[in-house]
Amino acid sequence: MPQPLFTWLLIAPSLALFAVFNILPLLWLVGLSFFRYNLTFGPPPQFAGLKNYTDLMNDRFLWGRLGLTLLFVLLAVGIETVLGALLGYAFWKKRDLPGRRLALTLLFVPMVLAPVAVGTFFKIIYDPMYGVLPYYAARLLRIKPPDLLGSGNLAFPAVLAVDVWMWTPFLIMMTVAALGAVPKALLESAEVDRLTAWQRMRYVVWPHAKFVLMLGVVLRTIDAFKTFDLVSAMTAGGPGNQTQLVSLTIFREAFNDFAIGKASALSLLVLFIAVSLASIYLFVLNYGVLREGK
Amino acid sequence: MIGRRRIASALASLGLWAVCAAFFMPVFWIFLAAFKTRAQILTIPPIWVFHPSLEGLRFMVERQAGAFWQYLLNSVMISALAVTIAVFVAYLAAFSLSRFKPAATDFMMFLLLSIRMVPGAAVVLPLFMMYRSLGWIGSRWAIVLFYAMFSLPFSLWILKGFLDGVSRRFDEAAMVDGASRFHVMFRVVLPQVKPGVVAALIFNMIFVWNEFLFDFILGGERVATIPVALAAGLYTSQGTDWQYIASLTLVYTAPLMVAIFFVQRHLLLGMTFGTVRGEV
Amino acid sequence: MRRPTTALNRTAFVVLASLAALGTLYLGARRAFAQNNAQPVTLTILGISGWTPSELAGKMAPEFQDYAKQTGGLSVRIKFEGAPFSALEQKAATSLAAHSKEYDIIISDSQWLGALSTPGWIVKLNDIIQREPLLKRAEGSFNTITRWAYQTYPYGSDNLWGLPQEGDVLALYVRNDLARDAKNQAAFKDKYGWKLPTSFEEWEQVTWPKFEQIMGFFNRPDQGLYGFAGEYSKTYDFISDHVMSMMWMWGGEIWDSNAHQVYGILNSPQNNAALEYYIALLKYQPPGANTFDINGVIQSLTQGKAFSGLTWAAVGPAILTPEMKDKIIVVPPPGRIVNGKMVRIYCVGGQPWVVNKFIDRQHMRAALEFLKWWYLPETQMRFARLGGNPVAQYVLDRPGFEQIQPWYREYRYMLVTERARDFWHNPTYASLLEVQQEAWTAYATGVVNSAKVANDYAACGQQKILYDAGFARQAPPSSCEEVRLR
Repeated sequence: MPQPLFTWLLIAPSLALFAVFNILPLLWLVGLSFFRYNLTFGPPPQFAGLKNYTDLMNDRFLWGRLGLTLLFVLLAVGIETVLGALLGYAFWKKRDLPGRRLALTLLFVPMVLAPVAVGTFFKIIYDPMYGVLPYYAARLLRIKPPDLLGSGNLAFPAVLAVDVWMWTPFLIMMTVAALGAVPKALLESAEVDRLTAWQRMRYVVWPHAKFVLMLGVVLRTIDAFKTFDLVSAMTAGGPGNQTQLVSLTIFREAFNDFAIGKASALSLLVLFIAVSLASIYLFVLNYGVLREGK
Repeated sequence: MIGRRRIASALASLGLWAVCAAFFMPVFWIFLAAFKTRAQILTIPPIWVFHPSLEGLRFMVERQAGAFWQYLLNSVMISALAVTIAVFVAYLAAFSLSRFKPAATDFMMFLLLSIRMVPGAAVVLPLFMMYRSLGWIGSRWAIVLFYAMFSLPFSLWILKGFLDGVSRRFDEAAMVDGASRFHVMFRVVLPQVKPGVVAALIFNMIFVWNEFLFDFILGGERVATIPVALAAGLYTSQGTDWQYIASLTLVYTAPLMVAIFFVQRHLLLGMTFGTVRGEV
Repeated sequence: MRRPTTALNRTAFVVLASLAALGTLYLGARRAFAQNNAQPVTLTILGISGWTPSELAGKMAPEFQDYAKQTGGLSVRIKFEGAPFSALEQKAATSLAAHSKEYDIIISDSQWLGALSTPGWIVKLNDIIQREPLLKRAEGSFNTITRWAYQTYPYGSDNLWGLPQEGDVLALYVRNDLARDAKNQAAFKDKYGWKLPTSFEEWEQVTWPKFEQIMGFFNRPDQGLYGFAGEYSKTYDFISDHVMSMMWMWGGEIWDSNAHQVYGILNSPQNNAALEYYIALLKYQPPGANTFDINGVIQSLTQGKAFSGLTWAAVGPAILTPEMKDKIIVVPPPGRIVNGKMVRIYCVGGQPWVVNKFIDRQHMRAALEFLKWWYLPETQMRFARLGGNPVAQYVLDRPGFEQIQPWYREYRYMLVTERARDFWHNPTYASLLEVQQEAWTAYATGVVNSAKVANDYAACGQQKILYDAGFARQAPPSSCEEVRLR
């Protein structure tokens, strides 16, 4: 068998899966986004050109929702990255931690929970009457048990906190892995050369760790952008619109309003934003250069 | 000097354990609730010590005439099959991309990663239409293959990273000895990227195991997994069923916890995407 | 390089051949299996999981299998699937949109009749009801509100799209053990000068201002007891059912259903006052009440945290637990005196059955048999004994009916045309609801501080939805550009 054929034969199954389950629906989505199409009423699908897109541009609430989503992503990923990097560094440093394997197992559990379950159960953990958290907060701070999900000001941070709790472990894991990628010989020679802590970080650790760490951040950003189960179970986007992330809006357009055309256009807009964000990250990450330099 | 060092080290250990305990605490609270009665779950001040009741777990199993076992079986079968297929298919592609470097390799890597960026709510409707017209709704294989696609990008990224780290001399030496290409791929190279395979399996398992939306819309009762059962069973005639949520969470998180405990080394190694060999 | 290539070819051949063989085997087996199974019809019902009346239908359905065999010689297998309230519509509509046969009968919410019938997904039942004596008899017995709410689109028209599965009304659950307590009786009389009600007849006379005194009287946070629990959650329609009821009693309307006009009607001064009033009641309620869903009210009552609670009659079994059964009575919720007359108007709940239009004749026949069976007096009575709310008047009027369940007297009292009302059977139902839920929960939680802004926001949003969809003649006024929540 000639080499090129073999090369592509190996890739073919992946591309086939990708084409059938991703490209096809995506093309469908692109097509639908140019139609005026509501499942539950109105005429059959009508070609509407860019109408759905111009409607989106003119929707004065959409930008608020996108802004809220970006804020959510920025804060969640930011806090998770900083916390994850610091704690990950600590766990990496402390290799002789007694029971390290068990400790890390416990630490990693939050990210394997089902978001639906977490979102629902946090309703009772946060409940001002039956909730364990407000109870201890009240005891500790000598205040009235706070009503976290029922307050316009606190609901967003409360939801954010759950996301941070769930996903910081992921970035701790990535950090531990990333730091493990730094060759030990280099670290030892850095020690010998008496580099300052900052220099060691900057010139020895970072070049080797950045690929894995940044990949963790990329993955987390992508997923944070899609946050849905957790928030919809916990607040349904409320109170008011305080936690109305854009993924909830898409879902609502598609499965409550059945405004298929509009939902498709919105999905593509969000997809475009997510891909752009990821591209920026990957540009910073400079995957190709790093790999060839190695 | 040594004494002070030891104290500092002990303090550091204590601190890190405290961090782990803090992160685990809400999970622990949910697990505890699995052994409480409904009234105990709602009691304030919170109850930490109590006589454990198996009522919740029993209700969970008995509910809907034992459909629980069906859900559990579905979850296990679907996620195991999906990630196995994904890792196998990804390995083939990763091998090709790593060894033969066809044109547009980087682009393909990015393209496949972009799968993860598509909002779920957006594609589930076109997918549903497609499944419907092909008669795939409620079919186990159709949902398995979808999840395989879902798990593909991450597997590919991990495995390609590892394969890039395995020197081509192994391949060449084996080829000279007259081994077939498949022999090289599966007997010579595969054993060297084991951590990557394990990491890809476990990591994707976590995502598939928890996925709700696609199974809910594309599957039927026959392929319902635990998250779907969970969403459908949140409420009962008695109101929100905290016991059921807690019991189900306990039962289906425990296997993943055990897995993380035993393959932790591989998992951490896998997350380096092959940039390191040996211990992390 | 030659050997590996041949090896590959051989391997590839073996793999492909075995795949082909397996595929053939699978297809063959499937066909054989399908033929074997052709005999009994499987009737699949999609209902609401965690909702008593739906689950009861699922529980009773097997009894239909015997009935079908005995009367029509039909061999039917019943399969019941459930989806939670908030997800049922997604499940049902995606399936119907694809013209799928997977569900034969669906328990839908009454407001979806428009959304399900407009695209032609469900069977129009007028002719069938005329043809089938058993269904005709049931239909003839429904009162006006039952027909309007569970059967018609457009609302109140003669087009029948559903048949009522469960009737439901809002009910006030009251801790009568506390009300009858002699100390409370005396203290209340001292303070307010009238008797604290303890019976159905006395509660019939209670108006909202009077009820507020009762709430205030029992609101004792230091004892862990609160006066009242209502629904304020953003999920699904929870806050809307209650607030709209208040608006109707305050003399407002939610829209003009002929002109599809919302703006200027929903955000009327009466409605602003009604919304303000219902939110102000939060001061008599447990902490966290401003996000209470049905479960919040149930828990407040069963955990002994609230003196009274307003929620559906359908959740009676959840509230009247063995511990609470003798303490709680179910009474009509407060009314309002308008022109010297007591007015009570509350939202109806409950769900109709609808029939999938895409199923084959065999399944259609089984579905009709099922519906006929459902309205047999025996079936309706059995449903009642298990805790459902039947709708056929020939069962409701039976002597002793009101004693079957503690809430049946209230249920019968409220499910009449002048006391019960349904809202928007319009295809844009879900969108209309969403914007309203957003606006009112924003006001309930202090995101906006004025009922007027909240109602303006809802009215503007709904007017735009109806206008864009081609129902309303008038676009929202330009002043809507300025209206926003925070």
